[in-house]
Amino acid sequence: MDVWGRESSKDGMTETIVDVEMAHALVNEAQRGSRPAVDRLVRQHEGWVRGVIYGVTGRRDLVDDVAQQVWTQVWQRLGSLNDPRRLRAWLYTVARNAAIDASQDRRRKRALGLESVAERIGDVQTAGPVRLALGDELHETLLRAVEALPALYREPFVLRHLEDWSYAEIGELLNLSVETVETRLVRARRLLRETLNGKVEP
Amino acid sequence: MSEAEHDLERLISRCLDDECTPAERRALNAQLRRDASAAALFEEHSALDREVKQALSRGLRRPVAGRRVRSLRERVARICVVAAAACLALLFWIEPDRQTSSQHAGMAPQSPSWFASPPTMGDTLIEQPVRFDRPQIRVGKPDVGWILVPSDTPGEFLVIEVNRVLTRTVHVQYDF
Repeated sequence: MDVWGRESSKDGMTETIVDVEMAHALVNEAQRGSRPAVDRLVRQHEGWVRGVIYGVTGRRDLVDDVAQQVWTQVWQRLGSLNDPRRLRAWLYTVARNAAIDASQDRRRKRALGLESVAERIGDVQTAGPVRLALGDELHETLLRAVEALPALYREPFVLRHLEDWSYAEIGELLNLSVETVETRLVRARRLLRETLNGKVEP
Repeated sequence: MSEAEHDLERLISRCLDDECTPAERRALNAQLRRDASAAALFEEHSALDREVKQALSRGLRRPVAGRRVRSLRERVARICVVAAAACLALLFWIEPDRQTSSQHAGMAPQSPSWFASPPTMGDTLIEQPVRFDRPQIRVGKPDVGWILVPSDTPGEFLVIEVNRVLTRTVHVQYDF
C-alpha cells in the first residue's frame, strides 16, 4: 500500500500491459460476434457509460433508456472500431451523442407538450415523494443538487464520484488537462456546498 | 472568498480525491489542526463526498445488459443459426456427390441436388440372349403400317399396327 492508500506492485507495469492486451483481445473477440465477450465488455464499461449519460443529461429518468440505446449502437457498430485502444474514447463519443440527442428530444417534446404519460410519471417518481417516502430524502436532495450543476462540472464530478476515476483518467476521456479537471471538481464541490447549505452534516 | 480560502478548498479537493502529494497532505493536516474553520470545511466536504458517492451509486447503478440489448443479441443469434443452415444447404446443393447418408445411397449419382425430388425409378431392363436373328419386317401401306416382331419361338410374330393416329398391338401371328 503506498502513501495515498493505493495498492502498489513491483510488477505494476507488467500488470498494466497484460490488462491492455486482454482488453484488446476482448474487443477483437466482441467484434467477431462473441456474445460472452460483448457481455463482459458491457459489464466492464456500463458503470462509467451510465455516469457519462447522467453527467451530460442531468436526468436519472433518461439514463436507462439512453444506456440501452448506447449498447444497441455499440453492438451494431463495434465492427467500425479499428483501434481497440480507442474503445473508451469511442464509447464516450457514442454515449455522449446519444445523451445529447435524448436531452434535445426531451426538450423538444416538452416544448411541444408531447411528453408521454410514462415520461411524466418517470419525472414524478424521480423527484417526487415516492422516493422520499422510502427514506432516501438526503440522497434525493443530493442528486437534485448534482443535477442542478452545470453540465461542464457535472460530468467530471459524476465520473470521479461514481467510478473513483483519477484526474488523469477523467481528463483523458473528456479531452481535458488534469488542471482543468481539478478546477472543475473544486468548483462543482463549492457549488454543491452552497446549494445544500449545511444539509449534509459531517 | 479570499485566495487563501481558494487554496484551502483546492487542497481539500485534491486530498479527498487522493490526488495530493504526501507533502500536501502533511500541510493540510497541519492546517486542520491549527484552524477550526478549515477543519469544519474539510469535514463538510468529506461528508458531502461520502454521501454523494452513495447517492450516485444507489441512483444510477443498474444490472448490466438491458432487455433490448439482450433481445437484439437473441435475434442476431437466431439469424446466425438460420444463415449457417442455409450455408450448409448451399454446400450440399453445390456438391451433392458428397452426401454420405445411407438413406440416399440408392439415388442416381447424376441427381442434381440433395433437395431435388428422387428420380422416378423405371423398370429394370435385363438383357436377354437372342437365340436367332430377328428379321426386321415392315409391311406398309400409304396410311398404315405393321411392324412384325419375331418372338423367341420361330414362326411366331407380334404384329403392331402403326397409322397416323395411333399405334396398337393387333395380335400375335403364329404363321405367315
